[in-house]
Amino acid sequence: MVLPSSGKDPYGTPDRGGFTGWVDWSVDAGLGAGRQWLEGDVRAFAQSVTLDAPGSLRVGGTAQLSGSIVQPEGVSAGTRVVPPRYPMSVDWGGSSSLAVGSGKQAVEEARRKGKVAIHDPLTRTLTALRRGSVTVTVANDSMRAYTGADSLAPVTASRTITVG
Amino acid sequence: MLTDAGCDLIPVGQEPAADSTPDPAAGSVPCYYVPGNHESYGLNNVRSDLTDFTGEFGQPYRTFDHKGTRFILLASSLGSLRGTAWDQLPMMQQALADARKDPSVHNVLVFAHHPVDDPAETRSSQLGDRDEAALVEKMLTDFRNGTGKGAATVGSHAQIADVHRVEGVP
Repeated sequence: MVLPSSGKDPYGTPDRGGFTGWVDWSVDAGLGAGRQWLEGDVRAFAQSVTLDAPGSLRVGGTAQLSGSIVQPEGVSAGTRVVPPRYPMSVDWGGSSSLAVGSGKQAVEEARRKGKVAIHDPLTRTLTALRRGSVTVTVANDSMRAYTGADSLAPVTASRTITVG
Repeated sequence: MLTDAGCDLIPVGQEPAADSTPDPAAGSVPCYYVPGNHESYGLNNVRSDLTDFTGEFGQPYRTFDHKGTRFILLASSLGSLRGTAWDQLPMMQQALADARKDPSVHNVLVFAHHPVDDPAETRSSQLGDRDEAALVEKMLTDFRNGTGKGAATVGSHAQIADVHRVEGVP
């Protein structure tokens, strides 16, 4: 496995791992080599994040979410635009009416809990489940000059979607 | 949290500032460094060995165990493992042999600055001796296949976030 650059200009193209960041590894000692014993949370640095989503969806409708992050140059303003998808780990979240998960079981559980929509982070597809309002948020680690605890806060972007 | 650790990045040849963040004296999480090519250059590019690094951090290759994972940290600063410090290869061989038999070791992670394979088409930022790279791959795939315990290598240098597997070893 190859780590991203944490400061120098990366090599390669941004959509194929050419971005700055760091990796938070987790090891599960209980799992053997044939299972997912090792997980890498690939944290890209961002100075700004955009999230594109429709303003409204019909119940049962789906939307492919997209967006980008712009990366800083060191802690100064930069211009590298990176899509928020593999090999970057993307931190999806949102309002309590949103479920995040993949697969049939996750959809069924979201319905049972009365969620308005479910977002599949693998396909970046939002599926509307019932009428209501739902907010989707994407968050990235920042990289800016340290001026106190606030400067460590992640950079986020949110969209609110009305399901009718 | 990295802010709880005693780690800091400082310019080459300088001591940490008194108000360095995080405070290197307050660390509770130990930091281990593997030396890269820049650690062999010295201040103003006057060296091609690890004298300065070794003076600060001790032997530049080592192993330790943490919660069932055996870590093998290697020094690839001069572009190859054998060229940087030959003794680390029998160290790695012994660490893997012991890990095979030791039920308290569940998996092995190998870290070096140079990756085994550069994901870029130019292949310019990887272990330079390809026989040696094949040896590392064989040691780790044999370990995985012979024990069912996980093994993986982690490198940097090529500056592209990437994962690929050789016979189940990332």
